[in-house]
Amino acid sequence: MNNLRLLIVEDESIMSHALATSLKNFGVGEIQTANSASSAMQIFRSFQPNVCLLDIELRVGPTGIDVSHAMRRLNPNVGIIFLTSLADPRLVDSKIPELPEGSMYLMKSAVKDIEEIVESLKSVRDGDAKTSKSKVGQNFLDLTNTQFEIMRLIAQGNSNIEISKIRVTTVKSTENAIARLAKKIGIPNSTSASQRVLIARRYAELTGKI
Amino acid sequence: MTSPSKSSGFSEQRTLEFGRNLKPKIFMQRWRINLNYFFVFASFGTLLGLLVEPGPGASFREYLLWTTARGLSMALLYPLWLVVVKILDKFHLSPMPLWQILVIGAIGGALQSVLIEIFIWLFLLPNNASSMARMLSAALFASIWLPAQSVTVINFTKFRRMRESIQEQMLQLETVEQARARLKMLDEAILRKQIAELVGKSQEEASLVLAGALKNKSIDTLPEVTRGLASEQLRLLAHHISTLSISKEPRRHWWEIEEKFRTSISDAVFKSIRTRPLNKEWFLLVLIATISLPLFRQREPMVALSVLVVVALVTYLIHWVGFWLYSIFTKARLVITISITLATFVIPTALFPLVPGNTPTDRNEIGYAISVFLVTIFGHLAQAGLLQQKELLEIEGSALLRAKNENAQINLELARITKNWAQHIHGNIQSRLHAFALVLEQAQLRDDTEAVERAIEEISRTIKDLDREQTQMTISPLSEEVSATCSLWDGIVNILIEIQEEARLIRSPIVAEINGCLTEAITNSVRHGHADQMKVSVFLRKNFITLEVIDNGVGFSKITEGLGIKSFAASTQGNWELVRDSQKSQTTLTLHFPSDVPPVGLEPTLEGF
Repeated sequence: MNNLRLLIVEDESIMSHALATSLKNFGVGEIQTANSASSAMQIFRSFQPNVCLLDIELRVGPTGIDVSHAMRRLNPNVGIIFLTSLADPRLVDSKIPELPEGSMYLMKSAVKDIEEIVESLKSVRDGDAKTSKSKVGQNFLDLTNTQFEIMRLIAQGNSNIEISKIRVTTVKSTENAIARLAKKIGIPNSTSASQRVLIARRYAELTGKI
Repeated sequence: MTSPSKSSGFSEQRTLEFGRNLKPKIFMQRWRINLNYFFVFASFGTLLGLLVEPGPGASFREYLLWTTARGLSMALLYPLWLVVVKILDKFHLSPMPLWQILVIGAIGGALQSVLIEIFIWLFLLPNNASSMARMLSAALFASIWLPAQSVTVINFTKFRRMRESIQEQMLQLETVEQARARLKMLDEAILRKQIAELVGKSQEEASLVLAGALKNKSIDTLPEVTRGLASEQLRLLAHHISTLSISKEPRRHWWEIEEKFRTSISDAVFKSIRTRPLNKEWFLLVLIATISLPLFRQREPMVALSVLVVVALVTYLIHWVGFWLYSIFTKARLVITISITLATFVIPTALFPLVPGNTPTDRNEIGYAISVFLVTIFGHLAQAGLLQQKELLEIEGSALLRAKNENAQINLELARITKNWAQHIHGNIQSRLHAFALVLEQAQLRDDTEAVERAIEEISRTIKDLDREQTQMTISPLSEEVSATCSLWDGIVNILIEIQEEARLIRSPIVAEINGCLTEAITNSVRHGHADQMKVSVFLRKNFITLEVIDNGVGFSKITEGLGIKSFAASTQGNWELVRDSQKSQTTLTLHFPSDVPPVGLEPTLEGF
């Protein structure tokens, strides 16, 4: 435990503060926190952590996944854990890059206690996760990038016409895409407004907002 | 009689203001044209023209009575006819179809000339041999003239109504001051503060509920409580934001815009005026009227007819040339009007004595020519007034269009800003509550009441932070926005920024567009091009603001799908390109954003109105 050098990248300072405090109580060695991508990279260079715990959503600009790739370029052996409320990283941006090899994906809602996080930290430091790549992406949603995009656009309150404009497609094809999406995520097929609300609600659930 | 001057002092005032910039000045207000034009030309023109009309041997008393009777009947009948038009207008029967105008005009004209002849027959020349011919010619003349005049009247009415509707729409638009105040409100982040206050308030309520829950030792249910609060807060927030969002359409006061474009538009309008169908119809009618009256006076109709056809063609040609001249020499309309009428006057007068059977000194023809001259000059004045109306209409119409466009842009911008805040605030609250729940859960595990108190303190601090954060979100100039966006990627990719001096302080909706595309470009370069060196440049061009992003990545041109590419195309209206130079191993993305400042000297188009 003592040789664990942990960098927490989390845009909410209260969140990273809470995590750091809890993890310290469990005897995790040195911990530093960063609340943005740029400060994370700065601290990464000076602090030289061997494990990083990253949130994926870092407000505007680069995501935690972008940061993790940059970190891996500097140190290919660094252990990466994503701690996020997203059920699937593509929820934040459908063309988000792949997770780095050997990284671990923890959903905030699935984490029962801090001990579980501590165990994960140990395993990625020891390289367990690298060998068992199956941990990455195993539980991700079976939706296409387009479906993620449409789901997000609906949740942002866009109408079909607006969605068609943004995606540069016809309204008809947007309607079809929504129907397919609804079928896939188990929402009754209907043209009524409640279908949109249910899709938006599902998005909120998947991103951990509800 | 309905007084058109009740069409509000507002439009009158506008008319006068427009008049200041339009040459020649409006020499007849439209209501005066409606009313006085007919009266004056009818009575005065006919009076003079017919002064020489009575046949040989008539006494002076006969002359006097004859002309007085005719002038009086005209003077009475034209206003009467006008009343008919006005009544039709009042009952929304106009603008009437042309055939209706023609029928009503013909009946009215025939009635009028019959009345005239009755006057004459009663008082003067019951046995005049030529009275039947004169009656016919007068009936024909009037039945053609009156519809022509009606077209003018009705077009005046139509134009006036269109203008009034434009002005009404304009008045419904928000004033510039109001729009500015609202934009200022955005600048000063008052709205954000309001949202933050509302959020803060509901968070405070949330913390109180939580504290209450703790006191009641129902600590086991805390995660549920927080989750419940979270969704409740989402609901509340959505409600608050919806009440804050701008319900009233942003509007601009139209004459602010009009002032800005008035000069250039008025020039453009003058240039755009050509003989339109209305003018053609009008002149055709004038022409038929002109040629038909003497037709009945000729002894040899077929000869007269062929001469008259030539006259008609020449006259029509002159009018065409006249209108062409109007459109070129916009400042000398009165001179042109007089020249045209002189030409119309001289040609028939010169040609008529050539017709077999006519004598050069035929008084009737000279008298006729004088009356034609007068009629034509008044007709042209009326026509000029009509053109003036049309110009005003076009100017006001384009001002309205501009106002509406600007409003639409303001609306879009407001919607975008509101949406951003909403998303930002939603995200903030949710993750904060999450963290809060986590801390509380920890405290619960450790049975640490101190930690709970600290957490509640943390919440009050969060509320204050939120307030401050919200107020910091102001619209910054281009250079700051670009630097801020690039600095987000510090450490991940090395970005060199180069912004042209003139472009640094641009502060308009386009900044958001540029910044959005820049974010997309950097994201693409890093994620798909695996770049670690970039150069971002912004230049100001005549019609464009150009954003150039060069990176050392492998390029991302293979990515044909995705919002990034689509947003490039949307923001630049397709004016962008991606060039991969494999020798230098660099990729250059160039985007040209249409600048929102119109280039100097461009005449606004009036198409589509």
